[in-house]
Amino acid sequence: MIQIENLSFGYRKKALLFEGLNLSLNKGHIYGLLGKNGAGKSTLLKNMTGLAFPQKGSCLYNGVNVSSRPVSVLEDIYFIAEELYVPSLTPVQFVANTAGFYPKFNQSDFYHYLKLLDVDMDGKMDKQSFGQQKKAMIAFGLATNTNLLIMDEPTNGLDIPSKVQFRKLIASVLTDDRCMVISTHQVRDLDSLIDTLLVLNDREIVVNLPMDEVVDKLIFGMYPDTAGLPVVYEEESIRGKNAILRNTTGKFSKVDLELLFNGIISGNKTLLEILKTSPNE
Amino acid sequence: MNNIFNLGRFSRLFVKHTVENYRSYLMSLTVLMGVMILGGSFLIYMIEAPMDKGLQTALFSIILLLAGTIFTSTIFAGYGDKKKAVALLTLPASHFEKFLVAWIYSFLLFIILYTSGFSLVVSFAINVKHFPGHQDGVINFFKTPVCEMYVLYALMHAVAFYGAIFFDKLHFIRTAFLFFISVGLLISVNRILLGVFIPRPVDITVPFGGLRIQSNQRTFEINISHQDYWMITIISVLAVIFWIAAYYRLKEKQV
Repeated sequence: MIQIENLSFGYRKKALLFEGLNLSLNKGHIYGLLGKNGAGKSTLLKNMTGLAFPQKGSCLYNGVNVSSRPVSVLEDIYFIAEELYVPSLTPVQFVANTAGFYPKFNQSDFYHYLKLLDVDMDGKMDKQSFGQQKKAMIAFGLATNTNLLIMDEPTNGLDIPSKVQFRKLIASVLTDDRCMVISTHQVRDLDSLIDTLLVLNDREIVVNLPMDEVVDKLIFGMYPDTAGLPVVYEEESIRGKNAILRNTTGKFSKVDLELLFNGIISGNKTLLEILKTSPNE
Repeated sequence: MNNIFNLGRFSRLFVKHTVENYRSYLMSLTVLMGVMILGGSFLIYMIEAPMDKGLQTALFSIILLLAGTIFTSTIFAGYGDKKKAVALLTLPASHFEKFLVAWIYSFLLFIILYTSGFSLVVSFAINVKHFPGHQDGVINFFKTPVCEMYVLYALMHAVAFYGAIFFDKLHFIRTAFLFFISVGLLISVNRILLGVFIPRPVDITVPFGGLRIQSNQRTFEINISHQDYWMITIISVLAVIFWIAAYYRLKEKQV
């Protein structure tokens, strides 16, 4: 669906953010894009949506270069930016003027999502709180039924009940034809939501792995003492050692995304090597 | 073709633009009418002179060029604001349709509304105070020299339109600054070139304009035949070039 080939990008007068980056995203998946602040997550998403043009390489959506922003591509992509612009209209008025641009927009879905996310349908969007604005735009983005939905820090500004509702909603709208990319630095918000992990670090995608494979390769747990255990990465905590172990027994454990992310960006070579090896090795 | 222009999609975009901006446009129009009414009343009562066709033409031209370029320089302001630019650029409409909506509002609709408003204000000014022996009515907007002002406005609009999409903020100031610097440079270079070709003192002149040569305390004026025709053609061509440049700038806009 999205094919990024040999992409290099940097803002004027600044060093390159990506160099020779390659990435392939397929339909039927929810990708979690993680990275430190300033790693270039938002910039990568902008390259995917044609809002920024690569200096080298290309970003293709179903074989079409997104840099020219053709209508046929824009109709099938919805991008929810971290900082939103909402016009001085109610969600109902906004839909009346904007939904027509998206051929697969479903109005009843939109009202259903607004209700689930507890958004005021009759209030002017620009007069509402940032969280309410974000929820209204998330509801709109989901109701467009575009095959690619890209969200940059979607949970910023949402309260805890809304975050829970957001996760449920995202999980419920995934279809075989749809692909979702969620970028965040609030790693815990993606717990139990994403099925593929992408980690952006040092100008490249260092991890691009289905969560199932992460579970096959690693064990996550809290241990009073890790002596004698196949520890790959560990952090001290009040209750003991929060550790990632090499999974040699085929046991299942719940992935601690935050710990895994910390291990990856700390440059732990063993961890990266384990994640990069194919399941049969 | 569907990726460039679709009538249904263009209509939707036009309606969306209108619904989201009509309040600020109506306010701008009210301010413009207020300025014209105040200015017209001031002229009638303070100067104690009738509003003849020469004065009307001068006022019409000055306000058209000034108000038109100020309004035009705001037409792409959303593209200079990152939050708005994301919404505008990812909206599924072609660059041409987005360009056309902005062009229609800032050029066509502006000219129609401004001309109607000016006509109303002048009618009011002429009728509110009578000057004995003065019977001038409202100027004809479809005859020379007024209709030539529309051509000049097309060029000024095109320059302001390009500046509106080229700069992210302070559109009017930056465009006007660059415009005056460019005109100054052009006239200077033209004078240097004329000095090379004509070994006599030459008055300052614009490219393609008439020549005034000083020789033996006499002034000779040389004009191109059909000079007005050439000036209008050159101004029109320049306007089209700036409009095309603005379209490509919009296509290349990034966030």
